[in-house]
Amino acid sequence: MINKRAVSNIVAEIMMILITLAVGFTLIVYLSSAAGGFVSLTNSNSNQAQLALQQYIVPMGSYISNGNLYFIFNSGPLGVQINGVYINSTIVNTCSILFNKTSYSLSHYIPPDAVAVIKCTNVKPVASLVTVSYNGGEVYAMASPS
Amino acid sequence: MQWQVHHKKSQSAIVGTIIFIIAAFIIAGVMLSLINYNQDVLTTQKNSIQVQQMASLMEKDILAYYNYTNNKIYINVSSMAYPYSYYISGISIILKNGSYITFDQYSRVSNILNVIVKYANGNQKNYNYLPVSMNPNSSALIIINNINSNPLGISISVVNGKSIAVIPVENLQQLISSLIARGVVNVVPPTKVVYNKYFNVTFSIISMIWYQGIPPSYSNSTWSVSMYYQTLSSYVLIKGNYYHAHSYAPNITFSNVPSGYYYYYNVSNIIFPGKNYYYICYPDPSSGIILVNQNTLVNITYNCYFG
Repeated sequence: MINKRAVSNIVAEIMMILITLAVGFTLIVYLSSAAGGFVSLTNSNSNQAQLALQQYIVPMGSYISNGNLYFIFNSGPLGVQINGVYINSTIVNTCSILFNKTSYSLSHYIPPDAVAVIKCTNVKPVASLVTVSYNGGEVYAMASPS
Repeated sequence: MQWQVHHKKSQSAIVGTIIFIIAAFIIAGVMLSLINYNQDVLTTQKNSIQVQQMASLMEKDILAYYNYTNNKIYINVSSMAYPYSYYISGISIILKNGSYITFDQYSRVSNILNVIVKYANGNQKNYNYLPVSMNPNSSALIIINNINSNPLGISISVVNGKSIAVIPVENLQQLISSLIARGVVNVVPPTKVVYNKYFNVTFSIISMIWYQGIPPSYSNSTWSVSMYYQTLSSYVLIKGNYYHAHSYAPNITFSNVPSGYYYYYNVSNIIFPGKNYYYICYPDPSSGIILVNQNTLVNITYNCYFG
């Protein structure tokens, strides 16, 4: 009886360990999948946020003529979401974006590697500091009367 | 009762083992995910740094000048130090009359834009749209027609993979006039100097025009060319002399001239002395500027008068 009990214990322990391993593997698969999904979601959100932060625009020229301010820029390799324009630190609500012969109101997304123009009306013909805010940050340029 | 005690001990050991193994699996799963996430973040950071470095290189090594003549804007884009391919992706021109002109890949074909790319092997290709691909050591001449107002500011955007940079296009006419008016040294401090690349410059007399008489049949003389190479803080002078026999117009070739921002050159007069008179010959052009580019040939015509 003792021997049979001993054998039964060992078998039981082996079975328990095997069951534990099976549960463990199931758990790791589940956890890995769940954590992977979570990390993937986090990564995706993080990547989107990072991509937005990596947006950059490169000023190509700016000037003021006939009461209008023009800010010419390249939209960079990721495109850019233009949100607002400030002239001498004051937000301006008379601005639009001209791209591919079409005018768009702010805020607007410009596709990658495009040359677009921000036009603001009713601007005083004095040298001004232009600040353009976009999803990746801000960029500054001086605009003088031409 | 002895076996029951052993059995309880055995059961608690099994439970402990199970808990330990499950905990180990959980920790391993979470750690693996965190390591992957960390690697993604590092890759993103590395990419960002590379993008900034590439843009900085492009801004430093790609040169562009413009010249406005007969309602046309000529823009020369070249690079002899930038070792990678890149694209000209955009052009922006601000005009004195308050208008502007832009070109990019979304503008499609334009009948006022002509881009002539000269590749390192000498082949040329014409485009009337952007973007235009530039191989290492290639140069481009961009011609924009029907421009009825002076340009105030021109810039081009160039792209290499994820990086983008804007190159200010400098006014060649202002550059030359300021050089001629004020001398060569330290007039226009160059912002970009290209090192460790070489090219050949050949000055060739293509014609001697004799006014007020027949050309001398016995006189020989020499002519020379000086080239001033502008650097950041000083200039270097390269001189070439050549014996000029009658009806023989040899070239003066400067081989392996180191690339710089530009070279300003002066061509000497030629005097043919005689017994009772002499001829003096004036070169056309007598001076000029050579931009950093591929091998260059400068053709000179001498106009000769009695002195």
